[in-house]
Order: sequence, then structure tokens, then C-alpha cells
Amino acid sequence: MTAEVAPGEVLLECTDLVRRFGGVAAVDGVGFGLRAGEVSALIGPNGAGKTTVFNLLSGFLAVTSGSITWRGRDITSAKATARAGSGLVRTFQQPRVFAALTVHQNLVTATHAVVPSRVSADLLGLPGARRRARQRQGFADELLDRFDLAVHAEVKAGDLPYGLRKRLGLVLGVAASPRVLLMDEPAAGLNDAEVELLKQDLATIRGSGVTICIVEHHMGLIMSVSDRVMVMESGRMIADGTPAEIANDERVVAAYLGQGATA
Amino acid sequence: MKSGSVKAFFKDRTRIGWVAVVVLAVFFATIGDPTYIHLGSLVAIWALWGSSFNLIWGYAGQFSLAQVGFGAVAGYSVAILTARWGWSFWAAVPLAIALTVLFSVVVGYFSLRLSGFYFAIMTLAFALLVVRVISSSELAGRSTGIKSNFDIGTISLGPLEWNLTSRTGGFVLLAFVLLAAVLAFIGRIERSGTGWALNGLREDETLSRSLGIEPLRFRLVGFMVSAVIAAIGGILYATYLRYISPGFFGLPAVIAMIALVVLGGRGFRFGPVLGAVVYIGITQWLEVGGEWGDGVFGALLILLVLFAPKGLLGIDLRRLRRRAEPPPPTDDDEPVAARPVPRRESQGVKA
Ligand SMILES: Nc1ncnc2c1ncn2[C@@H]1O[C@H](COP(=O)(O)OP(=O)(O)OP(=O)(O)O)[C@@H](O)[C@H]1O
Ligand SMILES: [Mg+2]
Repeated sequence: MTAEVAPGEVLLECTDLVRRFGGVAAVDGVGFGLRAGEVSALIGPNGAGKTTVFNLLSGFLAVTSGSITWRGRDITSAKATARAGSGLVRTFQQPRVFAALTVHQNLVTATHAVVPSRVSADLLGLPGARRRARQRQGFADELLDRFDLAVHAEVKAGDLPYGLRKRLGLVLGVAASPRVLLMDEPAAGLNDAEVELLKQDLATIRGSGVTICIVEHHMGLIMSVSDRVMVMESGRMIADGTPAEIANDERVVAAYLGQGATA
Repeated sequence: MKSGSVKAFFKDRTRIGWVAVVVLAVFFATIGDPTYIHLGSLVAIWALWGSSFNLIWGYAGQFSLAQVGFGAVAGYSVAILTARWGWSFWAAVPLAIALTVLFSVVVGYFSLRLSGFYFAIMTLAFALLVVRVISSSELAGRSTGIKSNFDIGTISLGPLEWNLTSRTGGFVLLAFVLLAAVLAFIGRIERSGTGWALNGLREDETLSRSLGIEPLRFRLVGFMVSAVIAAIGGILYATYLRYISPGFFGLPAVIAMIALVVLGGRGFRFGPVLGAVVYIGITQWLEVGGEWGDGVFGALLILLVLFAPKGLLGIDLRRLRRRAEPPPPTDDDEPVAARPVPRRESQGVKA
């Protein structure tokens, strides 16, 4: 799925991103690139603009100014669905799942990007439609196994406890077959055991060749999984470096780490 | 149920649905009594209309009030083509359906971008506009409508002659065959990627978009297919009554369509069939008199919305039994214990 991506290639790049809400610039001149194979983190205090950056990158919000390129192509005004379809996938801070569908059905639905629907074939019942239905099932089964969700396969996603719903939300992102996966606070609200599980999931996802960018407040997680950490404050990028560099950066400590982030 | 295999057979709700449709068809088509032929025709036609609304609302989550309008466009197209312009019935039907689909694309283009309430109002406006235009058009016979003997005639199937004339058992059978075809078609959509996309959009549009599912594209497809189903219902209705007038397609029809889908169970493939049986049963068969019939039906709806908001097919018997136990905690401290859940056997969205 990601075979043709050269390691170290800049997949996603944004330049001078600005997003204003009314008079307030939630994102104010942010630029960075994500290299293939890297795990990067985007941290910063509440309201720093992290989620807004993800919304801009994934096409859920339009930029006020600035540009975004995806594998060298300008996607600044591309639709969210087109970005997801080309492998730029995001997850949500509040866990989002298809509440009325079972876990298995959630995954089948999420395979849309991998096995696109041909509407006419579906309606006419052409053989291709049946083959694609089987592919979807197979892919969903594989994910159930890979992320230990098989025992919950028939549970309605809305009935899952919070931790599992969060996990399913992440796996739905994986099901969309991303090249780059933007995760918005995957550890929020999880207990220690669940965070350990999340670390394993991140390793699995990374191992399958997916480039990862995580927004998180859980510093323990960030410091142990990231190759690179970017720090935002008030819509601006104030630091960008290795975890060790960031931990010792005076500005970062003053702006964020000093004021009681989860260690 | 006596034997285990019978029990196993009926464990699958889809099978129960099919058996019910076949039983209804055979019963109404062979009984020969004009009253039952009347009831049977109405059940099949309302089940078709309900299926149209169920597809767009139950599956795709779009509360479209235009479905009756689609039925009107199709029914009137056939009436005008045959009665006014001398077309044969079988030539008029495909053109009428094509015109309806075209109309649904126009309606969809303007309304599918709107959300929730505004979508409902916009589609209702289109439906009422259709009735308005029809009742002021000379060609459509204004408020009196068009009288026409839609002459479907007889189909020869080898040695068998299938008489399709309105108000015969053959017509009832035709109506049920069309209903079955539509239900089978909806089942196919259910299991396809298009069906999953519609489900996803109904459940969470934002999440669906993040997974690459394009809302407008799939909703428009759902809208067009639902328009075809409504068109079949509208044509059958006019054919059955040998008559078409704007009165059939006003607000009462819109409300009845919604009510029978709610009653049967939104998003259940066979829900509209059950809804139509109950609706026609109460308003026609009980003959509790026009207004009283509506009153009884209304009271039933109120009870249902209060006690079984998912409709008759949505009543989960197992869950009712589990009521007594305390609800499971939603915020476990422990990593969640694996609940022993059986693996799926079939993979439909809903039966
Ligand atoms: N849709 C919106 N409309 C108006 N203001 C918004 C909107 N989205 C975000 N903001 C504002 O932009 C700023 C940045 O918000 P954002 O959600 O990006 O922060 P964040 O870094 O993700 O914070 P947290 O860690 O709490 O999730 C906040 O002041 C927020 O109130
Ligand atoms: Mg946020």
C-alpha cells in the first residue's frame, strides 16, 4: 500500500498556514513537513490550535491563507473526501464511531477508501460488486484480528466502553488505508493499561509503513513513541526537534511542560 | 415452533420477511373476493411507497418528503401519455420512470446540500409544488384528474395467461411481484459498498467524510433509486384505481408514508410491509370509518413512539428481558473484559 513511497520523502507539507475565526487567528503562520516513516508529535497547551491544524490538513476547514501540498501536489482546496481517498486520513479528538453499527460493520464501512464502491455495479449486482463485498469483509476481518477486536465484532459500537470506542475510532482510520495518519489525542481519557495497548497499536501501524502525526497531551506517550516533536502555542510553532531537545527547551518548558502536562 | 430446523429457519428475520410477503401475495391474489383484492392491492402499493421512503430515510438518513411527489410525477406521466396521447401502457412506463428520475435529480441537486430540517422542508415544497402544478394544469385534468383505463392487458407465460387487469387477483400478484423485486433490490444495496456508504452517512457524516465517503454523490444515488421505487408505486396506484387525481398526492399521503415506516421500523427492509399491513388493516379493513380509522392508527403510533421508538421490527425481545439488570458501566477502569460475543454469520446491515 505504501510501497512506492521512498523513505524520507516529504509526503505532506504545509506552508504559512493561517486560519482565523472572526478576528482570532487560531493558526497563525504554521509550516512543517511530514517525512515518510516518521512518527511526529504536535503538542501544546489547550487552545494552541493543534486540532485546527489537523482540520486544515485534512480539509475539514478551509485555510484563510497558506498552502498544503501532498506528495508534491497542491491540495490546499481539495475536498476532505479526496484527501482521505488519496491516503491522508485523520482521526478525531472526540471518539467518532458509527454508533448504531456493530464493530465489524464499522470496519466494513471504513474500508470504503481501500475498496471504492462502484455505484452502478452495486445497483446492477455485477460480479465485481460481489467480489468487492468479499474484499471488504476480508479486510475488516483482518483488522479485527490485527487489533484484537474480534471478540467485540458483534457489539454495537455505541455500546462499547469509552476506551474501546476510542480504539475503534483509531482502527477506523487505519481501515481507510492511510499513508499518513493524523491522530487527534488518541490517549485522551485512557487508563494506563489502555495507553500501553495504544503504544502497541502505534508500533503495529508504524510497522505497516504508515507515517504518523499525533496530537497529544500525554507526554509519557509522546516521549516514548515520537521521532520528532513540534510545539505550538497561540497558533504559532514555537519549537520543533527531537524529544530530548524539546524536553530541555526553555520556551517549551515555560509555555507548556512547566504548567503540569501529564508526564 | 415444533422442530428445531423450523426454528433455525425463522431465526433469520429476512426469511420471516420473505415468507410473510409470499403468504400475503398468495392470500390476496387467490382469495377472489373483491374486498380482499382491494386490500391486497393497497397493501402492496403502500408497502412500495413506504419502501421508497424507508430507503432514503431509514437507510440514507434523509427525511425526504418528496417521495409522494415522485409518485405523482410518474403516475401522471403515464396517465397523460396513455389517456391523452394514445401511448401504450408499456411504452409509457419507462418514459414516466425516466422523467421521475430526472425530476429527482433536480430536487436532489437543490435539497441534498441542506441539512436536516431544511432538507425536509425543501423536499416538501417540491412535493406540494407538483400537486399545485398538476391541479392547475388543463392537460392533467386540473383537480378532477384523469380517468383512464390503463390497459395493461395479459401476459402469456407459456401455457399460462397472466391477467393483469386492475381489480383482479392477477393485478394483486403483479403488485406483490414488483414489491418483492424492490425488496430484493434494496437487499442488494444493503450488502453493497453503496449501502455501507449510505449507512455511514446516516450515522455520522463527518466520520464518513474522513473515510473518503462523498456525501452528495451517495445521497443523490439513494435519492434517485428511492424516486424509481416511488414511481413504481405511483404508477401502480393510478393503474389500480383506473383514475388519478391530485387528491392522492397531498399531505395526507405524505404523512401516511412516514407513519407506516415509523410503525414498521425505520431502516428494516421489511418494515414498510408490516407498516402497510397494519395501516391498511386499521384504516380500511376494520372499517372503523375514515376518521376513526385514522384516530386508531394515530393512537397506535403514539404508543409506539413512546414505548418502541424503533418501530415494530425494532423491538428487541432479548433486550426487554435484560431490562431488569443494571446497565453496564461505560467508563471502566479495568481494561475491558472480553465479552463472549458470537462471531457474525451473515453480514447484512439489518434484516
Ligand atoms: N470552529 C471554530 N470556531 C471558532 N473558534 C474555533 C473553532 N475551532 C477552534 N476555535 C478556536 O481556535 C483555537 C484553537 O482551537 P483548537 O481546537 O485548534 O485547539 P487545540 O490545540 O486542539 O486545543 P485542545 O488541546 O484543547 O484540543 C481556540 O481558541 C478555539 O476556541
Ligand atoms: Mg484539540
